[in-house]
Amino acid sequence: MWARLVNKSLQNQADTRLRQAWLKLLGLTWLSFLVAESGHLTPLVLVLVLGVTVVKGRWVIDEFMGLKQSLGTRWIVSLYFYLMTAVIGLGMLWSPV
Amino acid sequence: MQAPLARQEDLCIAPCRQAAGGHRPGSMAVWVFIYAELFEFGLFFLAFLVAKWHFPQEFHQGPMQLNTLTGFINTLVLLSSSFFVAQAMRTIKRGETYLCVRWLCLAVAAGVGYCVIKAWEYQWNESMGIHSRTNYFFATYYYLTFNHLLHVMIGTCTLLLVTGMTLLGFFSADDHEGLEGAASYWHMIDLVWILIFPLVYVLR
Repeated sequence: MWARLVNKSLQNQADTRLRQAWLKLLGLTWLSFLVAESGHLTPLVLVLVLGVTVVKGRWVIDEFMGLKQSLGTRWIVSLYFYLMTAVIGLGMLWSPV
Repeated sequence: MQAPLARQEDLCIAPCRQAAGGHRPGSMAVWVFIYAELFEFGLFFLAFLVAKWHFPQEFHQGPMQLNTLTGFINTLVLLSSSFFVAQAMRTIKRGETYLCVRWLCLAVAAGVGYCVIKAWEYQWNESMGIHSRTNYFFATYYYLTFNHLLHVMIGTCTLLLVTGMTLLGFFSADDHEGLEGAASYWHMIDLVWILIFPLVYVLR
């Protein structure tokens, strides 16, 4: 009986964590949408939006993809994601307009 | 009957069978395919930024003519679909096949929903007089988003296939590598969209 209770409790914790990650991702997307609607791109806004993007990517890689325990794969996917976010940021920052 | 003790993967949110070098969800072949897809999209992002450098005025005005709401809704839909797939992986690891099928059905529905919303967005663009040949911004916008749409279609069909296979008993708590591969591919599609959304819709 105790084993079942512990089992259930741990499963519930994991389910709650996954659900929380999902809700936070939706919230951050809403924040990005508000920024898009404001229509003013300043360097500060750029850093905020890309910061939100990095956090979202981090959660998808760790929580949804489950790469936390797969160090090699996690390293490659994370590197790609950070690199692309940085390239997008630099591309926007140094854009002529 | 005594319930089995929680296994390592049940304690984690997503697949994480601990091995010497860690557990990679899905086969090596699937991951080579995923890396190739990521590389392809990386080139698309670079092409977008190079075009932006050459045609700054078009890339400054273009995003303001887009329907940001559809991009926002599609982001919510894709993130939710990834959540459904992650839940499906958790349930199959617990041996709850029918629950897994339900989560997968939700993910498939989200995939179809994404395609419908994207089709509506393209139709809305048409009604506003926006085409792939309007200017360089819209050419790269269509190139990037249509390519992603194709990947969503392939991913949705793959999810539909593994849903059927799960229903037929091809996957179990001990053997679900094929399902993990499909899940990883779907998450990759979501990850790429997380980059496309700010690039095309937000940073303008």
